[in-house]
Amino acid sequence: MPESKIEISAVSGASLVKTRPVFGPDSKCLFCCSESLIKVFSTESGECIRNLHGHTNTVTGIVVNPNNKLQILSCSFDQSVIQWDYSDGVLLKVYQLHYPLHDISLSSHQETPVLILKRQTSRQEYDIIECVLPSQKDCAPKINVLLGNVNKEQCSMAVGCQNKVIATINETFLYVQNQKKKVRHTLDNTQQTEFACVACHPTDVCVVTGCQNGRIYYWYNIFRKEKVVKTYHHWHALPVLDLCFTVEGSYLLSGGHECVLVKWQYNSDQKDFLPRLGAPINRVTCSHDNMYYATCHTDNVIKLITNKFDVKQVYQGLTCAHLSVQKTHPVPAGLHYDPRSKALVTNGKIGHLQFYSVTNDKHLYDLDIVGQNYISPENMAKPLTVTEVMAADFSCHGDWLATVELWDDHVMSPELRLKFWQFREETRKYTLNTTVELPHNFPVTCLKIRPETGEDDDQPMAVTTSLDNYFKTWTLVDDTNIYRKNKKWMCKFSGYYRYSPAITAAYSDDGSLLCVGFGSVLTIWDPDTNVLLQTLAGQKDKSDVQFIEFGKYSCSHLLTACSENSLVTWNLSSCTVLWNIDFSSVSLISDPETDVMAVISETSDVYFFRPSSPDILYHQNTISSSKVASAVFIPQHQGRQSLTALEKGRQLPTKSKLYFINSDHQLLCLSEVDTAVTAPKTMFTIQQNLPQTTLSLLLSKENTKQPAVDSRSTSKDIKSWKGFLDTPPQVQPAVTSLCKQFVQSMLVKTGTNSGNIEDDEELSDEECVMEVDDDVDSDEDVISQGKSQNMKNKNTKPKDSIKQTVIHTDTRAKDDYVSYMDWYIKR
Amino acid sequence: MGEFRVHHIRFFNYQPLAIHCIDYNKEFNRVAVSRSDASIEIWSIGDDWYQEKIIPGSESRSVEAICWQGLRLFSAGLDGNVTEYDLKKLKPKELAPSNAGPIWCLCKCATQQLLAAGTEDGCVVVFSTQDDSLMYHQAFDKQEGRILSIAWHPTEDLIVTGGVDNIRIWSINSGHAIQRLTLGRQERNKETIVWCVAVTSDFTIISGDSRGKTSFWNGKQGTLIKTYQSHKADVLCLTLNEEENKVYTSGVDPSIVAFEYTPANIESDWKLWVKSDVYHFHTHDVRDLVVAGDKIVSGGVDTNLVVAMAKETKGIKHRRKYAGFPSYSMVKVASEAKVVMLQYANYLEVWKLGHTTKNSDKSGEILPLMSKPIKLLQLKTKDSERIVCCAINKTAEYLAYSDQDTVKIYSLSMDNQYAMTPQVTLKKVKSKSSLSPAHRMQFSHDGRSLITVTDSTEIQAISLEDNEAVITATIPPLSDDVDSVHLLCVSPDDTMVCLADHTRSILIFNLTKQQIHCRLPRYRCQATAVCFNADGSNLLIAYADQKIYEYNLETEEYTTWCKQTCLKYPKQWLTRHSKIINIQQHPNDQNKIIFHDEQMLCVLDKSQRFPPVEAPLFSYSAWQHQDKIPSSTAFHISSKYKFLLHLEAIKDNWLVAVERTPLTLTESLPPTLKEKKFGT
Repeated sequence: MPESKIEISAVSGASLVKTRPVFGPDSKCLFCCSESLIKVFSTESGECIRNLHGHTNTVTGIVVNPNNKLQILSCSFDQSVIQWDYSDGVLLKVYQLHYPLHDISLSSHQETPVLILKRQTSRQEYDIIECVLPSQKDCAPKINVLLGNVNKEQCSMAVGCQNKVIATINETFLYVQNQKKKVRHTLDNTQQTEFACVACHPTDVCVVTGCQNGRIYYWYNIFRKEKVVKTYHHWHALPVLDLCFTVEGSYLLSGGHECVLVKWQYNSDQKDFLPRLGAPINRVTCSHDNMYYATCHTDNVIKLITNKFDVKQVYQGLTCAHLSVQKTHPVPAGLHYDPRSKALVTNGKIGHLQFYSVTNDKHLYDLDIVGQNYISPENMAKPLTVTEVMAADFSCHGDWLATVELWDDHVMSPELRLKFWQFREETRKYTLNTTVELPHNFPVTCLKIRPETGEDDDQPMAVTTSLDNYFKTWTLVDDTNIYRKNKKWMCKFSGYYRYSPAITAAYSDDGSLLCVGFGSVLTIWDPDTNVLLQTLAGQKDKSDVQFIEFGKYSCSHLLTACSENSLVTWNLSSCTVLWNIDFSSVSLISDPETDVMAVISETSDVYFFRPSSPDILYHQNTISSSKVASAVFIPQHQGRQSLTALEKGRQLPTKSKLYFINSDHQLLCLSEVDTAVTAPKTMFTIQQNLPQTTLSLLLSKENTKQPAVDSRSTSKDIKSWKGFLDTPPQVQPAVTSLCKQFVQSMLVKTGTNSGNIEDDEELSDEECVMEVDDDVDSDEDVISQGKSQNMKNKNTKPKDSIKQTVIHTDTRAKDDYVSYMDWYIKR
Repeated sequence: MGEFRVHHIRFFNYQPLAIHCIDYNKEFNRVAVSRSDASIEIWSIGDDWYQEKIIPGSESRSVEAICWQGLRLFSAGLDGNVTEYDLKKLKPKELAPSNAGPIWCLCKCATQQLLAAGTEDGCVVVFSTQDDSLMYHQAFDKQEGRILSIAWHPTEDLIVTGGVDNIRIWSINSGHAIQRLTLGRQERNKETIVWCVAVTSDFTIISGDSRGKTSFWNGKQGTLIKTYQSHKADVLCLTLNEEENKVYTSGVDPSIVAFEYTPANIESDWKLWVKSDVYHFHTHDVRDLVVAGDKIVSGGVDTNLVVAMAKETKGIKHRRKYAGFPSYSMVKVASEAKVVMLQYANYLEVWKLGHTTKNSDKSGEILPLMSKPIKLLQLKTKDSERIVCCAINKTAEYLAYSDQDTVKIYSLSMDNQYAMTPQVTLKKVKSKSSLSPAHRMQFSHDGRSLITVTDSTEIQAISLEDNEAVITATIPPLSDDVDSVHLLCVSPDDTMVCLADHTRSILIFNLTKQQIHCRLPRYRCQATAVCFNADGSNLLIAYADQKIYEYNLETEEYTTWCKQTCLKYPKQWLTRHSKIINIQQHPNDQNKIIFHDEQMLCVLDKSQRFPPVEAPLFSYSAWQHQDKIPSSTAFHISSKYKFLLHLEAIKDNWLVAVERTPLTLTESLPPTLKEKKFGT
């Protein structure tokens, strides 16, 4: 029986910018470390063209193999150096080095190139070794320790000066070493600063260090300690985060918290700037042909910049809070699910909401909520206060988005704004509809948009609760005048209860009820008539209610509320407590597709349950090393996998994946994964265009001569292709009827002419088509299977809810069907 | 320390002058510094940077460049002359006109006895200095545009000049320009002026210009090697060290930038000029900069002479700042009459001090004045001649001053001494014979005669009877190698005179016997202040190395106290670098010696122990200072007054302290270059 396994993985949004990216030898691709993966990005298209799987822990450095420019070497915390063929995505060799590796560089003391690695020998100690990789398979790599007691930070090691000098920094010491000599220099302590980064000039004996106070020091004559010549340039006001020389060493690139890339002329005061890069630069690198620079930004963005200072590509991962001002809460707006783009929505850059497709692991776009530029602070100890998005909510179908933003420096009166955004079909964008200045006098604690009621006079409605003891409901009203037709949001009702702070609110699934938590008391309101229907109090503990969720589907008569140390479910029809347990939670979320809820405890244990009973459907201890800050269920629309899993006895009660973010700013996912993982699909191939050498010129001449032999067969090929492609699709016979023939013709050709790239592509396409067919066929089976299974699982579900469940499955199946169609059309 | 009531005088508005040129003489171990009034100071490095001589300036002369050649000092200026100075008489010795307009710059030839000057007319004029002469030798081709800077190649017969928009290389043999290096302009209609040039022996030309750029040129090819935008405004001066591997530049932007010639490659000898350290010593324009051995000497508009160590590894840490006051006291006190005379450049002021009878128990309290200080008179010299020295007798009946030509004596009488405006009459005391100009002068204690040391180091005793000055004695120079005398002191009984000159000899002359009483042992550095004690038996000498010696005139040896203590001075005491200006015995206490320099006032108690050698005596930050003084030791220090120009104890426990605060000095300076500071 094929097993499925529950896995907690950082599948999405891993940091791309922890290590310096590396350009391929021909600048056609850029290698980035993303946790245990190496991502290969195309510099032309900006796509991620390949993921290199192989390391089991975080990858910490990449170099291009000097012996074979088609290969790269990478080091990782998993104590190994892996040799890859990146064009094919093949792992060639693994060298075990028995210590976690933190950095990698190349040197050439002798004839053969040598790897310079930084390894972690014990908890706090790091040293630098040189390592000659063996040519034979079984030999162990030769290791020679160069320097002990070095700094763990990235950018604290550099190799240069014709690859003969290694420079490292540690606090206020600079160590330089060649094969003969090792010298220690000290930064004069009058400056009261420390080194932040180091770089070596590629040809001259010159080491450059960046300091915490923004100065860049040049060190000349470094091997004569008494006669060292030191000079500094000072433009950066904040710490210099990275330095990089261009290939010939005529320019030095530096970046820091000012979000400006500075290009210094070597040994001169001349400098150029590329300002307004959006976020602090923490890594800078230069391509081997001096055409491109890549800057890594702390908001998880890599920008590809041409040597003329145009931004050419932007590679973006999930933006995590990266500034010290944001560090209090990783995502103040929480995690949300955008039903329209099917993306995870959360805080991104400062004042933005980011839309992140978790399925494709791709950043879709940023929505600028506050419309303010990021300004770097005067010094790092006094960060500027920024306007941050504090809450957001989407309407059911994603037509409306409501956001709350707050600027509060605790000195001036805070700025609080409630904004409503409408999704415009014509522009496919959220556009600002209404801005409400200071909707409440104190920070807004909760913002919810009412689900659609299904009635005719259905007006969108939203509720905000605030610490000023009020909750306010907002409705859309007509704002048409003689100039334009418009709608706007207005405050409809403002309610309070006993002057206790309104902490949370929720609409029932059908939108007929509004529940607002005032302190420890829950109040039920009719959102249409604004009448207080019921108050639910009498809990044992008087702590404030933190989260409220109405039950869905079979449990829609139930209301689960979660306070600091208890979890209570109320029956709304009888207004009695159904069950009550002592439990301290940090998050309560409900699955949009089933009646299941999940609650996460302070110790990061997750429990799945149905509101109808306190029984635990599934639990997993310690899903995260640090406290979970926010969580969300994201429905899965790749039906096939999950449905098959459902057949085979799922462990998780929901089909949706649980995404959560912890206080270490990691986005993690709790999901069920089949152990028989499908092989990673190769999507693109990398065009090889190595820099021309005399040999390669010779070879290319050879190559141009060859094709004459089978030119006829290929030309014929193209002709048949052309016919196939030129025919309008409506007059073509069904694809299935053509398929076999077509594939066969391909197979013959690949036999004779191996390595034809276009053929390969076509093949994989073909496979996809077949798959689609399969899916369509199996759809109906799935529905019936789902039914039968649901009927069988009587013991897990209460009897009275069967009917509802069945209906639900039907609709679910329909959804699936639609999504398949979508997918097909896309293909 | 004892209690004093202090006349705290702040009305002495002496304004130090901007430094214009500095030149270092290695064999003589002296530095010559010229100021904006064309006066030239000679600083002795061997005497711990003691300002030993001042050649007074004059209205008719200007100094744009100074140059040592051997032991001879030359200057050139906008009057169009090259001037040689007599360092004994402290006046110009010889003049040579350029015949080509004002001179902007002057340099010497390392190999021959030649000087070259660049003139306003664009002409390089060569002067011959052979056989102690100064003669016009040759003029090169006249070029357009003035020549502002000049440098002689260390070994070859080439001269490099910097002018407007260009640098020219001249051959001495032919007198023609053989190469022309053109500089670009920053703004189209603003010419680039090369303010300074230097040449190394491998013919690298270094230039600083009005764009703020320091450029390195290959002189053989006439190509630019490297240029640095080292300053934000004009580079006015640059200097090259002896090994020719370091260059310092500075200018209107007062930061001093160092450049070093460093190897840049492991395998080859390829070297390149690299900008290294930047120092901020000055607040205003730096006008000249010179490397003196291992030190950098710089000066400019802020009037301070800064001497900084050019250590190789740690950069410049130890630096000294000498404010632009003369090393001798410019204030004379008539102690009986409570009158002070203030010496300015070309006038004298006589003030009557304020008067009070009040006393106070509290230290530092300001006493209410019964009568305010009154300016009695201002005496201007004829034709603004510079005053070399002056004197006033104790009862303020006579005053005298000397300019470069003669000594003038006046009698002063005051009616209604206690009125608000006393009637002052000043009469010139006529002299039968001409009085030769004096370097130092002092009235005898009975007030009846004036003792002067003339510029030819004679001692003249002038008696003043019935408004007539009569030279009673003229004693010729007492030895052949005598240098100009800088200290003169008359014993309390008017029989002895103590003279100290720059050859480090101190001798005591008996005026009544007209013979040398004794010669003091020659110490390793010069004396900066001398005085007799109350009964005239002992002589107190403060030396430039901060030590104080006591010499007994009868036994003709150092006193026992002096012998015991001379090796026990605390280390911190010896690291001080401002020199003692006045030394004096406490009027009521034999055991106490009062002395001061510009920074602090000190009372040395002979009866108390010296502190341990390592013990701290004072901290350099003034406000911590008071509590740090260990009261039980011999040193009692007060740094209450900054730039203490004169301090004298007079009778009845009164002190006269003349202070010129640094704030008032900086207030009177011209504005500095505006620099943008980040965050403002």
